[in-house]
Amino acid sequence: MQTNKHAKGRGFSSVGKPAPRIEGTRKVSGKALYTADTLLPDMIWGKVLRSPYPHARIVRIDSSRAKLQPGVMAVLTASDIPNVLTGRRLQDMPMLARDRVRFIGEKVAVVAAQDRDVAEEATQMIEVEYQELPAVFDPLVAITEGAPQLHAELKSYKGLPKLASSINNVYSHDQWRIGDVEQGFRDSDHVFEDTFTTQHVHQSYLEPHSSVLSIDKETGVVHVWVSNKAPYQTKQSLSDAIGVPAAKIVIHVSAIGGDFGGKGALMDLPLCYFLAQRTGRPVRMIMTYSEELMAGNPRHASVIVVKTGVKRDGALVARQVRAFWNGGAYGAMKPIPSVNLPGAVKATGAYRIPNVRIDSYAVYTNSVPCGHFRSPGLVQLAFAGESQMDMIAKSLHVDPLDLRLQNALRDGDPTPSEGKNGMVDVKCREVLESVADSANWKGFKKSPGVGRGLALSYRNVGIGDANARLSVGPDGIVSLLITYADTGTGAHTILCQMIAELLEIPLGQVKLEVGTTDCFRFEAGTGASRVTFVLGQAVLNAVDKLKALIRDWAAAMLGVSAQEIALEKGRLVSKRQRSRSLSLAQVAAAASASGEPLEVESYHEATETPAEGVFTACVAEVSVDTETGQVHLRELNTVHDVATILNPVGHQGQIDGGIIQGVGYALTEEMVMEDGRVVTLNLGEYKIPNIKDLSPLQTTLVRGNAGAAPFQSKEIGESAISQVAPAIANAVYDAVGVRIMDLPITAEKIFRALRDRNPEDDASSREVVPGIV
Amino acid sequence: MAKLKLQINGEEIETEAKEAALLLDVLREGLGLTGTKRGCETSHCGACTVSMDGMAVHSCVVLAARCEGKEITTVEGLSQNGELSELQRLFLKHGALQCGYCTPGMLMAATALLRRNPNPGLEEIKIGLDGNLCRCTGYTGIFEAIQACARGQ
Amino acid sequence: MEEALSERQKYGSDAMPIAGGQSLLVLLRNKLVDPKILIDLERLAELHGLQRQANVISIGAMTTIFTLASSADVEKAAPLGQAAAKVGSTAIRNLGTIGGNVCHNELGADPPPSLLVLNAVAELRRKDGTRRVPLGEFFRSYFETVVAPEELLCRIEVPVLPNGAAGVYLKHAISSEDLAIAGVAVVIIPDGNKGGAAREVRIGLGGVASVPFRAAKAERTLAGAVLKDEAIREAAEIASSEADPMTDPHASADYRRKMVKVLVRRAIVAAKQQLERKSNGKA
Repeated sequence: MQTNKHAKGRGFSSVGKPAPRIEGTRKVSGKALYTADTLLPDMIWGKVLRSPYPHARIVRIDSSRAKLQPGVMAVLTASDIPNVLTGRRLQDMPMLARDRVRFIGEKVAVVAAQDRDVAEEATQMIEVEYQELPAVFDPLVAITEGAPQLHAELKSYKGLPKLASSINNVYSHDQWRIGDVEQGFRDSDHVFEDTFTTQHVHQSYLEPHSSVLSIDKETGVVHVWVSNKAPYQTKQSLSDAIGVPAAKIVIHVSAIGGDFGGKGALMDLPLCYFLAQRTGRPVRMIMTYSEELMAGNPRHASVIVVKTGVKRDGALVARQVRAFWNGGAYGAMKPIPSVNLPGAVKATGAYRIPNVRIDSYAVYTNSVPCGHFRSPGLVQLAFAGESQMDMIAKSLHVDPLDLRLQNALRDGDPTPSEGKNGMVDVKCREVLESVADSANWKGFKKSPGVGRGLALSYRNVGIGDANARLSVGPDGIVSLLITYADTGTGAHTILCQMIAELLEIPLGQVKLEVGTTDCFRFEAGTGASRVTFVLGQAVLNAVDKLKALIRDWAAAMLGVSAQEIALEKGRLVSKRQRSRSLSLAQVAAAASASGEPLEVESYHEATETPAEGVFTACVAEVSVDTETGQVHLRELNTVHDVATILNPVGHQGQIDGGIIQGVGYALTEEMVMEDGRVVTLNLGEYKIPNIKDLSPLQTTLVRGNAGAAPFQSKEIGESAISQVAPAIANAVYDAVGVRIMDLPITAEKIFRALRDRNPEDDASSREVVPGIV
Repeated sequence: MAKLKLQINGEEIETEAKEAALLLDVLREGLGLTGTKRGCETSHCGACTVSMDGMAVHSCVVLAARCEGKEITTVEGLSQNGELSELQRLFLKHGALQCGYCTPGMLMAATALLRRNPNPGLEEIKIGLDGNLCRCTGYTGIFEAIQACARGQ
Repeated sequence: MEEALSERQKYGSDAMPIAGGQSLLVLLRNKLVDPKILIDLERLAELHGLQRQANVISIGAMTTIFTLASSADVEKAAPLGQAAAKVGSTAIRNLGTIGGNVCHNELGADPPPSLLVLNAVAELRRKDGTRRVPLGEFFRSYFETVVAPEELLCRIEVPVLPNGAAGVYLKHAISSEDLAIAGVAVVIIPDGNKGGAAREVRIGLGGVASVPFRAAKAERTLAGAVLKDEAIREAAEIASSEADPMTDPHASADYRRKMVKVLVRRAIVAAKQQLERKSNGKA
């Protein structure tokens, strides 16, 4: 049930303004403290030895030579630490491999030394004898009966979802059904079935995973600084892993250098603890970027089969999607209860389809364990589904825009994720019409090698819980204390804007403090597009409580009843005698002096996804150099369904950032694997877009009035990514008639597809736009 | 270990480091100047960018010993008397940062660019910042901030 | 210089010279090399400086890539400046040196094809002497050159192109910071007498064999020839057959070979257009 809509008209004084980031001054001065900037006295380095084999038994580990190296303070293997499996939800991952390694990069031993080089060199002196076991890398092979079973004890794991399957190596099988797809296919005039594959991609936050841990010698309290955006969950996981009560663990929330979903797991924290315990010194572990690319928790690679039945007039009748997620060796990195991907429920797309069946399989393979990355699951599924929509349009000789308009979701249409009541205030059609307009879709004049493609998707905010503590000091400064990290999204700034708006004070009068996990009992943490929706609401509730408290105090101070007091422009005014008023500072001072400083706390939990969805459409225009296959992205047009924009600069920043991640996903990013080995092990090999890849981006906003989050706002951060890859794939098809169904869309793939189609064109000399770097 | 005499942000600093110590490590670990960030450490991401005699360099591939006799400026040296520089203010205004991790490197690369070329065109800005990756912003805000700074000058 | 060469003689391959350090320090950090000594080349005056002397540009090994990319003198050695501008990124060009680049000899490095088509010569010094090695004989294999453990690359001498000549460097890569998947440098020296004919067409290829090399067979078909489309296309085809590329995560050998054909044709056409512009300018 939505509370507190604050449906004022436009004309906000703080919300909706391009306020610069409140933590911005620290960031531009180099003063923001990220985990690795926490320099504790006597801190030592921890370095890890990793498995070179994708699947092997550990026969023997001999760390004696390493231990003898001068400067080495500790060497630990699995036998030195508790036999506990860890995981964000499904606890299937050892902290150090015990008798088996299941992916190249799995941690086998850890060394502590004062000097980083000494620690690294010592890891190379640990002798490990492995006996290789048959490995499996393809999820479609892993699910067959004959494939090696990677987790024989699956049923004994804590956190095993109810959806665990009896299929070999499938630990989560989520499914949704509406109607009867088989009947739907029989009722269709045409049935299309296509298979798409997507690659592993890495979040590529510039700050690698970092952990700093110190055990207080007197109290035994474990102090943690870590690049992790879910501190309470992590505290609990850490407690379970190391056997220390959660009450004795404190996580100091640090600045985080990018997350995009990738910074929620324990990573090296438990090892830091054991090393700290063994050596009596604070320990830090910072993953090198090679380690990140080898053993971070990247986006799942996938095989997606989409089967769609349509009537000859273009109406979608049935759609069946089977998604096989290459989850890697462990499910430990996935946070939702089903240990599956949250985007799976939207696999059938932003369309009204009477018969739907989705099967989403999380599969074990001997490769890097995968986790969440900006709109997890949906990015892959949108590539598949939206590519197929264009393939269907082509077969039916229908404009891809018209096919989508015809089948666009409307208010109340049942969907697997929104249930039988569907969504309200659906802007699906509007967003399609708007992008057609802003991209001049119907008027586009084709020229050789140039093409356009369209894609559509939708999503929503996430649920969860959050805490906020609000106080006013005798100086009149309103302080918000939270423990949600701002991973770069600008959430902190928006929260302060909301407070300034509601208390009618200048933004500069609001301060935000990020606390430790001692501040509150528990909360979900940043992610899932929940922050503005859930934490924002907690803040609004806190403001209401604070207002009531301030009014009571002011009333007492002015000798009137609380109803007599109005809050106007940050002052408490007696309605009857307007000359009698008090500033916030005065009220706060009085309250403080009485030993009852003005402070309120609020906890908010959202348990239901609201009925307002968020729709996004994208038109990509490309030119393809047919001699080399290179794709030049000429323009991207995106349309976003919004209501109130809380901070236009932050909002556009989320769009810009998401879109360019989509471009990287479509064209250049790939964690290239050879038999489970990641061979692209630095940021030169793994290619994320740089400033030269800046393409003209046109953003259009379709403005509505209804938004589920505070001040009628809507989600943006995870919306602006899924449409890009399919729009580009569709544009490439429009440009040169090749359909790439396997990401990324590289120049070489296009080159081959063109050549296979027209062998004589290999020697062709069509003058085209040279796209040479 | 060897003694080093470095000039950092206008100050003469004496410190000690291993002979083959990298400037990045000396700045962060030796001198506690953690504004310069550790990113990829293979000279691709630019998070470690500092200015050496006015030129942008990746401190993860610079020997600290090589810096003797040169002027090193880090992000901590951009503000004067606690006042943010014009470029820093424009970064804030134009949304040129989100998580902020690439920001020190971007600021140093941009500063070096504007020093070498006070009036850079679009292409020149792209070239000047071609060694600085950002994952959050999509570069648009960074671009606008630098253009605004160039115009202002 | 004396001291540096003494150290090289004494320690051999245990003493690695450090030029710009842009490649070496990454190797060092990742323990892919483990020298006992680093010889700092920065202070050696003989290795610095870029001077034009009559028809030769003498480039010190420690000349930065940035200097090469922005030097007016280097414009007379046409493709070299273009290639230098495409190396890595600004920060890498600021410190990276031409000496370091050629001695490191990484597959896909940008400057070598240009140095080859300019008939550049390397000057190598030992404690007891100097030898001159044409760049065509300088590269031995992946990451290997003929520089002996007791030698240092001192200077590279680049003959300027005759007036009226044109040069182009084209690079095929995925991202601008990358080494080339295929790098092509072309120089056309026109025949003053025969209109439309080239006295010489030189084609340098990088990233598509174990060393950068000149596509000699392709060059022969164009020597003295009129540069018609058909001739250019054929030469490009031959050049691609001379390549011996390998497959890596970013491009297959076959694709690299095909890109040689595309780039050689485009580079020759671009250089030809440059010539036409120049001669029109004169007329």
